[in-house]
Amino acid sequence: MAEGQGLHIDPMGQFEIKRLVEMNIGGVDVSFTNSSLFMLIVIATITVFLTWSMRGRAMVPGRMQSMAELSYEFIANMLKENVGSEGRKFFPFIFSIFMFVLFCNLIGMIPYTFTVTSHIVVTFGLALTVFLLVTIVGIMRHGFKFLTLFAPSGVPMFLMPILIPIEVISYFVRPISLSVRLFANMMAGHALLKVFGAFVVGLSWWGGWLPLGFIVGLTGLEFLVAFLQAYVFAILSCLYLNDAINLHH
Amino acid sequence: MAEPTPQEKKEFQARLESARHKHEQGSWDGSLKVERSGAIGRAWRLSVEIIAAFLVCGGLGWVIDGWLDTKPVFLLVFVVIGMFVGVYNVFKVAKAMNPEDFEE
Repeated sequence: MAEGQGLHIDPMGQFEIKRLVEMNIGGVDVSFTNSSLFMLIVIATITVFLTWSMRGRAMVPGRMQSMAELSYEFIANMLKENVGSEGRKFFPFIFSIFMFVLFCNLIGMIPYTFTVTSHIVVTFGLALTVFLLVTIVGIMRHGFKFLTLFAPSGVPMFLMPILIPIEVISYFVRPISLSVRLFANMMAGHALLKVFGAFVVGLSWWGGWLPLGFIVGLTGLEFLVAFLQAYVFAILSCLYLNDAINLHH
Repeated sequence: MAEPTPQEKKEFQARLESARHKHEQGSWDGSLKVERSGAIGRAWRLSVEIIAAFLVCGGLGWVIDGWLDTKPVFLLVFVVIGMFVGVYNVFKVAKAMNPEDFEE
């Protein structure tokens, strides 16, 4: 029956938001969706992973405890190296963001799941949180001196009228670049996997082996991207925090 | 376990202080250790910088056009500004990635 029907490829169907529980508060649609469900699953998984793996509290950690300790030390060192000892206060914030993004990306790799971070609303929400926190921290610590962030040092005076607007715009570009990077990576990767999956089905047993090989490679790449983008998100949050706390660039 | 003597407490306090001091000292030498993500991480950071500047400036110009009913003047102006901002951001990121190349 497959002959003559053409290849049916629907790479974007996997990103569809489905309302699981319809809710409406004051005209605002606040339905519980598959996205919300997977966010809850992600948070539950992180909580279980961290608490369950640390339950032994062994001096010499086992496999699971090592993973939990490694993720802790990874972020602690990242903050120490990029922000300094002042940054230790923000460890819970950066750690939560890193773990949330990482687990969203990883859980999205399981077939039939939903990738929360493949929607720009979610990543933009995260990026905006980082942006607002950094701005508030900067203003609270430095007051009006925070505005010197927009005046690059070591630049001749006559260039200032050009450079200051550029610096201001580039400051407001940050949440967009932070969110687009994560969202584009996740969406493109998953769409590509879906396209090649449709090729395997469409070409069936005589031609499907080549795209199947591609899928194996792409899946490996997607795991790399899942870790890498969580890392990049966390390190950029650290760098922005560093700008606000130490006021130099 | 025996109660520590005042002498022991003092020694412990001193050791704790010096350890804390060492920790603070070793924590940050003022330089940014940005990149451990390898080439692909750098590539993603740099490329998206340009696109995001375009998007933000283009969107801003489009909104201003909508307000003032001057399509497409501000859109064009802000897209050009977006180009400048994007290249400037890439320059800044590249500078933070290899500071030794920018020393004179």
